[in-house]
Amino acid sequence: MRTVEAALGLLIITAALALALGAARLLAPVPPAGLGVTLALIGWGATLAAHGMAGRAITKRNPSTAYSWRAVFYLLLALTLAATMPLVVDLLNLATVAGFPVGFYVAAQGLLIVMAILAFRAATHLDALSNATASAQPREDH
Amino acid sequence: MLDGTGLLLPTLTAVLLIAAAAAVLSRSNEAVAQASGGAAFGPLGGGLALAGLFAFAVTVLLPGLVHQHGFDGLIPFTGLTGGLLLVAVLVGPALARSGAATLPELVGQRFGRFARALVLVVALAATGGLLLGTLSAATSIAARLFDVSTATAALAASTAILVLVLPGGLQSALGSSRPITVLVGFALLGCAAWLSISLIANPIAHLGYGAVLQNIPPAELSLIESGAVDFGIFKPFLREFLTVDRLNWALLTLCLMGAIAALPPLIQATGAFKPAATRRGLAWALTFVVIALTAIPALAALARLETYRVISSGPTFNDLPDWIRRGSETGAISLHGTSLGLVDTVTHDVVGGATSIDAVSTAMADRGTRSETRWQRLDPAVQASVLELARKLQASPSRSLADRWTAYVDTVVTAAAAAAGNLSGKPDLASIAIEPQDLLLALPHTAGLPSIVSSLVIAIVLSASAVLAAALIATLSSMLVRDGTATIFGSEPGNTAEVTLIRIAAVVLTLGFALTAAVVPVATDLTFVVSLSLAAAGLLPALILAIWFPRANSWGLAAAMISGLALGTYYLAGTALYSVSFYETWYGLSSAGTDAFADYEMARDIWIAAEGDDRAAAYADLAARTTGSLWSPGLANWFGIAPAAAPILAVPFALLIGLVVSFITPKPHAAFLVAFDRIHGRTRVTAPVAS
Repeated sequence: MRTVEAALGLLIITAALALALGAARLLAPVPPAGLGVTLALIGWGATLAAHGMAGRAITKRNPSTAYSWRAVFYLLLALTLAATMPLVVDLLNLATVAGFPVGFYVAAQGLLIVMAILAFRAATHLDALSNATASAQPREDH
Repeated sequence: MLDGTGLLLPTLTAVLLIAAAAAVLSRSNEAVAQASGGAAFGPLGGGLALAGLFAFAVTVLLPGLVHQHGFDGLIPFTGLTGGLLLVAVLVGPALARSGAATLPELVGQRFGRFARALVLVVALAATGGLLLGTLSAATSIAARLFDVSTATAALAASTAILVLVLPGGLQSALGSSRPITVLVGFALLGCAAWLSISLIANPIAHLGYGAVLQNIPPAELSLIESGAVDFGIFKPFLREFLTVDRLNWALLTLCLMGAIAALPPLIQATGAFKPAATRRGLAWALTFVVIALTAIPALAALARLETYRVISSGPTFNDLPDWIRRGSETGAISLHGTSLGLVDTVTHDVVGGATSIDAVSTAMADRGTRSETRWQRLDPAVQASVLELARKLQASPSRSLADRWTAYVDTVVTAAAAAAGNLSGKPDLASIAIEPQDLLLALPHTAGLPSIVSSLVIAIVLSASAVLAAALIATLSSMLVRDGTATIFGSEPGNTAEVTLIRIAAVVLTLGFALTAAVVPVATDLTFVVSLSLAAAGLLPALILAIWFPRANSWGLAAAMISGLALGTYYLAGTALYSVSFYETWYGLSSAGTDAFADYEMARDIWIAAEGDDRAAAYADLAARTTGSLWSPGLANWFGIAPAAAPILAVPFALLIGLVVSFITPKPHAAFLVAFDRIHGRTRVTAPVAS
């Protein structure tokens, strides 16, 4: 399952590059994607791939590799959320909740709160993997 | 003038004494504590301390930005919080595990002395730029509030900074940051709550201002229909991508995230956490920053809607409500570029012996660039009317606000409105301006809160700037001594010598930077952009290579940093300063397209054919086409990327060059690979043979 996730991520990255370079027109009549859309698609593909790779490493009981991929996952997730937000803000603004246009709310508060939650989740996950790496160290070394 | 009640100085002294007491309690004679905080704080306390480093930006720089630009002013919000998340995930734990105290030391462990020296130079430049921008803004505000020269304000700021730095370097600066962060939180949330209760009867502005947002678009539409706004410059609050386009919104956010993740003072400050608590501490810091940041759009929206309501009611200048009168008294709200605060300032000059416009101009220049620019921007007839009113007020000083307002409107505002072509006797939206940096500072007085509250808010904000400057000085002095000596002599000095040298460097740097900020006119936003670009383009590739690529060597690092800085500087300078020649060279990569180039060619032909003054005017037309702003590109660009987003090109390019050079040069020495493993929490038993 984790391998499928990683492969799907790579597929999204390939599709994004194909869209950007206009190669996708060989298959379907779509215009070349702009820089923003390309970056966002590559970001989501890479985030998915990193999550899959971290899962694979955990399954194979390799906490050191899992730690690295999990850190990459959180890093890419933060960057991708920031890069994607401007692409969807008009769409989100079509809805209003408690007076807030949703797109404005996400930029002013929502994304910030998500970043704070991600920081705590990252701390929990990475601290655990870091401790697992430290305790596994003597066995790996000898 | 806000210090009219005489409460400001004692209040500021009291708040600074609290900060100084906290600094003394965090004193240390350990070199590591001086350089990186000495692992002195737990996650919550350390989180408060680190959040305090953002207090100046949150209270002075950002409220005005959102008020002016609405949605587009929210870019730094995601950038700051995302950047802190990157520090928590990537950089902070790496620094803790490596045992390094500074960013150059971390890179030096991985790549050796030359790399450490290279990173030191860039880190000093980036941190120095931030310090200069902070001091310039803070001394300018203090000079206006206390009606003293910028040199005097700079000297007072130096004293405050040294009191916070000398007891324990970065550890004492961060120690002093904790009470100031709490006070900033109370001030910001208190002001937001007060305003929210007064205007929408909801004490939690964060949640309640949705009702305000709902009313803003109809109010804007009604202003547009009544012709009360200049449609060419009006920016609706909720309308997205008017100042910055969609692509650059994303790119500038990513650049700011990268710059924050590689910012030397912030990275060094993560050493204040106990190593096991670094990530959780940074998560707490991020939480405190988010709590403060989410209140700012509420303040900005409330201020916007109240201004719209005033204009919509169609009053004459004489009928403007009390909050505008009080805001004008502080100088934060201006009518056609003038304010009652400006009149009061000139009255002080008249009392001090300034009898002519030239003498007032000289006195304004002593108060700093901002005061001088505001004064020089006025029409000579308006300057004369201000001076005349100041003379009258000097003759009868004890007038009420209502009397002074009537006199001000009848003389100064009438002259300024006439100079601006407004003969209606009524204000339109363009004629009422709120000074961006003063939005929060002037809020309590404008809202009619007691003078002690107003003084307290100003004192807290000025103390927050002193804390930030102290942390920057501590970072600079420790890098200079610790990494400078290690680079030159091969090892750090002994503990006592290092602490002594750091303290001497702190004194010299504080005085030097404060006087520079007082004498040299500095544009705070431009200084911040350049400093952050330096951090992102020069330091981020170095950090990524150090933390993630075991095969990277010192040759690769040097190539990456130099190529990143070169490309970043070329793009920033080329598109902002030499845009015509940049466009001529790279028009094929510009997002403007071929039609725009055809128009440009016609304008260029006119320039080539023109002579004398016409030639200069024709070149100015060419430059206006090719140059945009820092946030929005003109014709001169690559793929539509704004000048300030140059790191988005520089970082991938630097990483590519760094990796290619690393792979074609010898493998790194075994000792450097041991350092790589230490950063990742592993122990290398059998080191590979160095080539």
